[in-house]
Amino acid sequence: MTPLLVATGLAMSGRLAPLDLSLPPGTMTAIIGPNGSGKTSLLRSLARIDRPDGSVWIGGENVDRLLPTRRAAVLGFLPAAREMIWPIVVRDLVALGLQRPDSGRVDALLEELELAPLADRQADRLSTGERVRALLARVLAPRPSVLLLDEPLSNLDPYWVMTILQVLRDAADEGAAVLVTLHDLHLLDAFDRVLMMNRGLMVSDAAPDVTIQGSSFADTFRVEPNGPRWRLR
Amino acid sequence: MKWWLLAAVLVTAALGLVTPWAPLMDLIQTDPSVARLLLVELRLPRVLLGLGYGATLGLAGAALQAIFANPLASPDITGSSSGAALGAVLGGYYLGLTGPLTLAGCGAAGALLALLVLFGLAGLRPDTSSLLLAGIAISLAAGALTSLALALAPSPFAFYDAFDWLMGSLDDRSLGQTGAALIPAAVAGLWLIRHSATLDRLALGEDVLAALGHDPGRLRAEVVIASAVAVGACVSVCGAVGFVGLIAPIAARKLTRGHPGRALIPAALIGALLLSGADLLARLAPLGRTIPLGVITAVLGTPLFLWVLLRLRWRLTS
Amino acid sequence: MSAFALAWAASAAMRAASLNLCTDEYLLLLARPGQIASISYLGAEPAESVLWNRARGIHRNRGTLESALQVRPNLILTMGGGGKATVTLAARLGLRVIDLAYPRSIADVRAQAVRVAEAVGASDRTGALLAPLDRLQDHSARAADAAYLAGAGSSLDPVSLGAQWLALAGYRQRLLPNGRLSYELLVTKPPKWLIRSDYRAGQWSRSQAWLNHPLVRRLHGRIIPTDGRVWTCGGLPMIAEVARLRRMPH
Repeated sequence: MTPLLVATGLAMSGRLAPLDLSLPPGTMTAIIGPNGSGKTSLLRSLARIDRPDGSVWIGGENVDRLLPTRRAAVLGFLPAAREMIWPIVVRDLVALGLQRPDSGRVDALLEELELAPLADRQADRLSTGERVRALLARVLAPRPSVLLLDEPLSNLDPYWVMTILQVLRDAADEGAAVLVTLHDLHLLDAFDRVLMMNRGLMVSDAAPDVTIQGSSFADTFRVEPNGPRWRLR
Repeated sequence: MKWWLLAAVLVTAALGLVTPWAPLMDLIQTDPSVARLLLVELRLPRVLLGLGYGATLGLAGAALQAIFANPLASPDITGSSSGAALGAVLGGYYLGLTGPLTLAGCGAAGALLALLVLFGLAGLRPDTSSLLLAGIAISLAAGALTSLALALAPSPFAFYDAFDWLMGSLDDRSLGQTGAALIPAAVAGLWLIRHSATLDRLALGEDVLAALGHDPGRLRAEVVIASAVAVGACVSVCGAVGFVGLIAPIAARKLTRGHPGRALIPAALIGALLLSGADLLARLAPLGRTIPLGVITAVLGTPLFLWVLLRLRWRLTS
Repeated sequence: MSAFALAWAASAAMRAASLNLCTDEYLLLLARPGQIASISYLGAEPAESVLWNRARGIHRNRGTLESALQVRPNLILTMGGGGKATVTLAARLGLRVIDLAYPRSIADVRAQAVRVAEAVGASDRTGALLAPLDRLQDHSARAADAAYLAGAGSSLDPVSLGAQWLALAGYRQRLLPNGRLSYELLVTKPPKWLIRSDYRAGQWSRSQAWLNHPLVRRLHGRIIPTDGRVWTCGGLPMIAEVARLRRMPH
């Protein structure tokens, strides 16, 4: 299957060693690694933030050459920082993801992420969980081919974790390539592929169960699986 | 677009042209050509400046609030207006650059310098307290330097001009001066309006904006330069007027449901309304006294500013 | 000793210091150079004083008694403000003081000139200096409707000294609201003549810029320029300027 995303020469001095990456369509991939391992840097360089090195091709198009009007439909990025200064209501926030007004699409997204009761609530008055869902709806709105999400599941109740995982799986089923940074290693089963980072290098690229049992996992995280939990190595 | 807002602006402009009513009516009956002269050479510049300067303040304020992601940023609070006055005073009284357009250029340079100093002091993305502290420090310093420059200027009349520069005035400006202020302001203003949609997206954060293919650094530079040119040109003709650039965008965002970029044009209209309204009030002053424009905007604007500050604090602590 | 000899001896030892632009004018015109110990810095300033040329080489004071004391004067000339303390101090130091009030009429100017001349032993000169004034006052002038015009539209009160000089030149200063001309007035009911001061015209300020507005410039046919410096004090140098204005169109 031809990959949807092909990235070469991604690097960020001091944080990410040069690496290449390709993502097939219709898959959910997780990036894991200890704090400071370069997970976020990898995501940001894929999203072409901070004058990145290398090049990223999605669906045969060079992302750097795309006009802003086209980019949102190709690449969706959700940062880890979720601050909202302006009192924009949730409905309008989601609509910001669209180039042209489309209230039908907005309503559908509000439904999907169970935001309908909050549609007229101001974004700076949302709880963390509510805000993630609203911002995620914004990212999903133009149906981007590639979703790059930084810690979308952190600090959420299990209900919302499972709901969002389902939403992401639905997007993948429609052909998107979903790439997510993850802290909670218990959720790895929900993903098709796991990339493990340590000190700016990609040390493993495999299926979830293989990743956890592999030796590089213990080296990277300094813990071993112990039933449903971990034990210190 | 809010038609009632546009209508209110036009009504205020019309009022500005025909107030005071009696002398004008007299003239139209006795000597129509003189009446025309009065309207065109005297009242029209005043009305145009009230609308144009007000619109510039609203527009620049809205744009600055968008890029600083802070509802308190504005030409006066960031020290940009005071910097413009200093630039114009130094250029006009010391460097002999007294032509209206060159004076506007000096104003723009002063405004730009003030904003650059602000970034130097408070960083590129300052939080509210850093922004306020740095901006107010710059305003105070620039204001003090302007007074000093006026006191030491070659012409002893300069000192009496201080009120005009520091508190603003629309009195007795000519059509030529109006053009020198409003043509650069209009060009810069249209440049800012081009970025309305992008500034809306900036509400999602600089990273998201970068991911969408825009350059946040370049956007910031363009907004800063365009605001400096627009505000600088107007200040070089009318002096520094405060609060309009702060209040107009805040009111505009109420109309645009919080969107900072979409608020640019409504903020311009509201700013035009506020400044023209303040000028009408200034002309109602008791006979023989002048109340500078900046005094009226300060008296009306300070309570609003305090209320905004309190609400911001409530929101942060609740 | 004869009165003349006494007077001559007194005048030779005279060391007069003037602390004010207006008293500078009297001193520079009436006293002999050797008698002037110090004048105020304004008197020597080309932008302020028509007599600045005569002030070359003369010590300049800052308008205070203290700044004049270093040249050891024996006569102090002051006008108006600062008078009281200066007079007391000077008396304590054993110096003679002439404290002139602001002149309110041309007659006051005459009387002040005579008084200063007497103090410096130049009474014989006053006749020649005041003769042109006598001639002006002997021939009555027409009274054309006019207004003095200075920076920011400021003008004169019709009862002021300046207005009296203007009347002597054949122009009647109009009574204006707030003592100034507004653009509206210049458009609707402009005076027949505008006697425009060129004081500091070369230096830019808002008040100067006021005079460059199209609504003022369009009246150029009615504008008669005048040297603004003499109008500050309205003293003896006004005589020549009034004579010149007499010859202007009315």
